[in-house]
Amino acid sequence: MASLAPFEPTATAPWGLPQARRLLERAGFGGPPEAVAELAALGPAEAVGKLCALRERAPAAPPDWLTVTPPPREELKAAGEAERRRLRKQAQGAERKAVFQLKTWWLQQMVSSTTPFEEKLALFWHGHFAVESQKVKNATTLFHYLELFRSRGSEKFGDLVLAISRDPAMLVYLDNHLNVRSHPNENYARELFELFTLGIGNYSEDDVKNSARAFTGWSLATAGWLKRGGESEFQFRPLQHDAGPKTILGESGNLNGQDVVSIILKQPSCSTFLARKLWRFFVDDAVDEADEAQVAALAQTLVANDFAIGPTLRTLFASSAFFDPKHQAAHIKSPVELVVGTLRQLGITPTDAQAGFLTLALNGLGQELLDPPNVAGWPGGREWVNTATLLNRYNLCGYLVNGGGAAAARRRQRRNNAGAPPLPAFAAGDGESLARAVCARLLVAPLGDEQQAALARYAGDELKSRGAEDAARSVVHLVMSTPNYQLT
Amino acid sequence: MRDDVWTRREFLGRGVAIAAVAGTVPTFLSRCAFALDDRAGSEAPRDAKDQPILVVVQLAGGNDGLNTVVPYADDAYHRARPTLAVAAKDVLRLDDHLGLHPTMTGLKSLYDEGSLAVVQAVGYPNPNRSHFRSMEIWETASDSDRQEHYGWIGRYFDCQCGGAPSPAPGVVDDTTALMGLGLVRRQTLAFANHSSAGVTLQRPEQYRWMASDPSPAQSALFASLNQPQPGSGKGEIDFLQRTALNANVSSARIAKLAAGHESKAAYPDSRIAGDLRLVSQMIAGGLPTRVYYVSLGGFDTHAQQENEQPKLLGELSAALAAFDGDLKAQGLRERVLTMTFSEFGRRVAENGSKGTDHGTASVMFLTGGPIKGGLLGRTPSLTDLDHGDLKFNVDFRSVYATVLAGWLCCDPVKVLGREHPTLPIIKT
Repeated sequence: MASLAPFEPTATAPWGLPQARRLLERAGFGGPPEAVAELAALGPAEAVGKLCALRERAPAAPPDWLTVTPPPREELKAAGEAERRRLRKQAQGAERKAVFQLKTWWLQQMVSSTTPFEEKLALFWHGHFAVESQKVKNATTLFHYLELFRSRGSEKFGDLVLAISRDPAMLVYLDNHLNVRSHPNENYARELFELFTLGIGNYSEDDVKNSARAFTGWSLATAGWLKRGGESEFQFRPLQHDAGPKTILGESGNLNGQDVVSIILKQPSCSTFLARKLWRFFVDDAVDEADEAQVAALAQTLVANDFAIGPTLRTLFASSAFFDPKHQAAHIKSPVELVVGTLRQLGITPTDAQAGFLTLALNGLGQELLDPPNVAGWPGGREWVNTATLLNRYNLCGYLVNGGGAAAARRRQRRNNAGAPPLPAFAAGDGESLARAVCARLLVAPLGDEQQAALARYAGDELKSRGAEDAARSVVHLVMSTPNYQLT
Repeated sequence: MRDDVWTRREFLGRGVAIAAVAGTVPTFLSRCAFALDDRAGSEAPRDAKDQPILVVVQLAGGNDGLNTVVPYADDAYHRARPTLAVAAKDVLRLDDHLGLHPTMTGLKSLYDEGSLAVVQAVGYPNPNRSHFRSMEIWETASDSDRQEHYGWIGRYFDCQCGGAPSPAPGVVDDTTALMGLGLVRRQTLAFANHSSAGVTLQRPEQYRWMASDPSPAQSALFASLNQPQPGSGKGEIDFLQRTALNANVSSARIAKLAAGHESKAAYPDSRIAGDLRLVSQMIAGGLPTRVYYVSLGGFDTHAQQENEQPKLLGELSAALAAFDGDLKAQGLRERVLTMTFSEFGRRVAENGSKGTDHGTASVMFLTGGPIKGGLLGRTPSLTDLDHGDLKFNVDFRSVYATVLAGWLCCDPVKVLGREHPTLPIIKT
């Protein structure tokens, strides 16, 4: 089977700004022309090495502002019924606020990170091993869950699967902390096969039932965890574990959860399932017939690297398949890619208040961090876009460009751009050069000829009537309010 | 029990197919003859105010049918559900064997009025227990071993457009765009068809492009930048351009509607009730929409089911009852059929976490002016099971066929690919 051939630039398929831009937008969140030029100066392998440096770091401890102390038991015991309700409600409110701050904090990390590849990879894993804060309801637990992906996202897939099987957020989210020998709960076992590792059709209903038994007793240290809203950690409860014989995917024995993970990694469908998902996230929304061979090669690369994710992705990003022109404008930006990419592209660092607003606004675009629609994460591709989310995307870009909503735009006009973020300088000159400069910076899918001409005429009129800064701002928002800007 | 209602026992005796075919074929023929006359173009198209409307309510996560329509008289039910069984004394009795969950008083009233059809044990052969695959099967009406790209409602839209596969770029008008309207976060696969028709929205007042400089010049340029371009014709850019066009042509109409037509009816304070209120507002406002799609999630009750499902069933029931009352007050009730579905029901036996795992057949509700109420389908056996799950008695495509033929004036074979028996639940 073919493996992924490295990209060797030629006269007809050169290495240059468009290629560096694709690398920066897919492996990271894109950036201004200077960042693209910096990568372009390096050559493909070096650019990948720099952008996707694999560093080892231990998961960080949760920051202080995240930790909500639940009311002490004694205090709850001593209080009357009404007071107890009030204290509980207060603690729940504080927890909700902390979760919101965590979402906002992560968004800000993505905007300002000097290692955007790590954040992009964490975003991939979050969508892959999805949990919803609505059910987990604990900011510290969610922080540890995120840190698993942010600090260890490039490690071996098998280690990640094992780690997520013991992760308190996941244990609560898919009810495995309640999975007991007497009546197994199948929730985790089923999604482990279907969504996390093998894909539908590659396991049987009996495999699900027996794996549920294998994961019995994989629970949490603290009982009543959900009720009190506290933090907890993984604990194996031998009395709740079914140690009897089981047959899973053809292997028999007194199998436990760890055995299930090892058996999964041996299935040929595991590498192809993961390869397809990586390809769709990082390369192209659709996998056509010709791409099937590339996906198979990516699966091969995974196996050859013992499922180590970092080295596999570096091979992918430095491959000729990755730079194939057919993958240009073949990926609909996720809402997070759109927002983070726009901020990075324009060099805007949002204030805490603005970042909080963006966290909320992402919901209207269909991608609220730490709250995917369900355990399947975000399906991506065309499912990002419907008539409502498309208009919301356009309007949010207006917010970013104007430093506020429509009212802010009007205020800005009255007050000579006060309150609006400074925009990068676009080539001065006539309408045509302004329109061309904005499109070159923002679009990989060009406008039609007539559209480009109409934009140039509009830009010319704006330059005359309103001056360079206002004209640039209007043109930027218009170019962002197009189908073309949704693509990378 | 009234004699015009099909009871469980009558069905036991006759079998669904025979009973069904008799019921709706004449309706289909008479309605469709009328509809086809319209399409021949000899007369002006019927006013939007006469068109039948379907409201689909998706219960996402897999609703436990056994605790929705409770077989309270069956000992096997109480044995399988030591902590979750609803006590016989609490159910809202439909007959001497079955009762609605006690929270569903609103639907019970509709049932007593004869305008709620309860179809039991609805499913399909070789059931899939994945949420996502099973939802796809329901949305595309495919067999469980076949992948379909287009949705059953999308194919119905195609029939309405005379089967034209794809209108040329730039000729989409608001009537076409608004044929299907989802008050959902993600466009349903059920609407998918050749021309990406249908709109999705959540908040009508925000459903428009907010120009940073609201001048006619900028609006005109915006419209031009969001037109399908000659030559693009395929791929992601084409899909985005079509969606942009749909958004553009529908947003003016939606915005106008959001400003007027305030519904006066009282609705409970829940998300699903708010969505149905909006649907009523849009129907009253004369949108050309034929199918509305709303969704209520949270039915995936693997643990502590008692904390979730009763609340959701109560919200659903109260919202549907309020919707019905609102439509009645506005004189619109005869134009609207509302149907609920879920991707699967749940395992008969509860698990060790006071919840239920993924199962198979579940229950569907159909209500509205056109509905002839009653209890339909054979009550599923709780002892003759398939891997611990119910065996289905009514194929969900029979219900679709009933709605397509009896209500939407559309040949169900064109949409579903083959004949399915229909159920006698639509008034003639």
